[in-house]
Amino acid sequence: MTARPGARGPASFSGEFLKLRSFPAVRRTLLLGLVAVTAIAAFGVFQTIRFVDIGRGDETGGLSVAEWPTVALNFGAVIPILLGAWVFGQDTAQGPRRVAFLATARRVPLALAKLAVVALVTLLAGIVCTAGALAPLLLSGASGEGATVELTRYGWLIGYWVLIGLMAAGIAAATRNMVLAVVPLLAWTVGLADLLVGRFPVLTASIDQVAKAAYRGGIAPSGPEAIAVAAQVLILTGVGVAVFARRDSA
Amino acid sequence: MIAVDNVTKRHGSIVSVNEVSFTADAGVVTGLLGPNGAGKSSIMRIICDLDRADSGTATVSGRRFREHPIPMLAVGAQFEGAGAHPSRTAIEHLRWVARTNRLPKHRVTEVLELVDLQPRDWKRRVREYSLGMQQRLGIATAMLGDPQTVIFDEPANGLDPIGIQWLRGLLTELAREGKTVLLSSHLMGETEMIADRVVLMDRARVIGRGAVADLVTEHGSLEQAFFSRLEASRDGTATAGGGQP
Repeated sequence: MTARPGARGPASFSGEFLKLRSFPAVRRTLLLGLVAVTAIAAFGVFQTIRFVDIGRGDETGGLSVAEWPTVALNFGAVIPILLGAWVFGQDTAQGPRRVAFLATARRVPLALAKLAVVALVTLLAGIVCTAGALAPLLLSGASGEGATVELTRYGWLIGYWVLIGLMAAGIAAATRNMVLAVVPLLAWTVGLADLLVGRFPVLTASIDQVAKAAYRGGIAPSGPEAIAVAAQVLILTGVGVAVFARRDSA
Repeated sequence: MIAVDNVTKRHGSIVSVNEVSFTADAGVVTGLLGPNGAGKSSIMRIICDLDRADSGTATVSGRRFREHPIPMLAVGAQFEGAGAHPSRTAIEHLRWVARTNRLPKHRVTEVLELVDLQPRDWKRRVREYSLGMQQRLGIATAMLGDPQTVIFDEPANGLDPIGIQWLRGLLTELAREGKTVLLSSHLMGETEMIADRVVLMDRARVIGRGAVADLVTEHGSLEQAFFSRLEASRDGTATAGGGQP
């Protein structure tokens, strides 16, 4: 038996990508996530337009029509968290984990291939879901009435999805546990950080707070903020890769 | 050839493999025989670099598993069942493994035919498989790279009598082709029928070894040979056993 020539890294990446594509939970996460994000955005956009039309614009919770896609995508952060966790989490049972380690015996290249797959898949999910969240705004025609779509803020948001997906992947790699990878990050991003940031100002440097400021304001993070975010992502993925590489399969 | 040299593995205070040494040669079926917890699976995982040994070395064809340029082309291994995620189909599982190792696509159907899985089952989810079908898929995964060395951990588990007969034929054929075949089992009668040589293990140690034919001639059956060595070992009178392997 001869294998086709080529570098091992791309082969591992290609194999892991094919593996993830054939994983039903990933397909369901993407599909349901897209539907949910689009539905939240559509509900918000059309309700806001309706309230303004009937003279009750002050009852929209202070959100303009153009802000609803961002709100929907903020809740949609569960999608990259799940995707990142699935890439490692699909191998948490002993049997699949052993086959993964037999198929790519060197663990660090395997972990890096998986992280590359996380980055690619969360990037694609971010682009598709952003399009889904913007669709109601564009279809409503409201975007032409002063509510312009600022691509910069959506660029930051997609970047946030990729980074939070990598963090989830790092935790899943280290813990071999989907629940530990998903629940704490999800709780943190959907509200826990907002609750605690008043009491602990240092938390303004946490990834979700920096990202929110960036994509809501359509501005670039400051140098220290960017360094803080990079450090959070690197620490979690670094610990994940180190544990993944050293731990026994059993 | 598989060479295990003085390998020890501890999990905290528990020693799961204790200074184990043996070789498994090409062209013969070597059985690791012992009760549950004897350390058979642990030593196989160490050979495949799935677990780290605390001391000693385990090599296949002179190299550690991960030092082979494409390990699946050198060593095929199957551990308990299919090793596939239950929500994947057999063909999806084999395709990603083949892609990762740059193996041609047609190899997937070849190994599915080799293990006698019916085409109608290829696209069924692994969770719907019987234990025997999962074993066959695990063996198919191991054979994907047509390796020179194969390692099977309790391959007869879950197989029906027809499946066991098929397995005997497969292992004998692989050895006849000159491949190194190492299998673990706690089934004495089955191992006697399949293996040419055995390494007897108990409580993480090797308690005996030799050609199956010689042991059977000496003790009447492999089971008698095993219990004789076991008794001597627990009395503290056993030598680890000389001879081959």
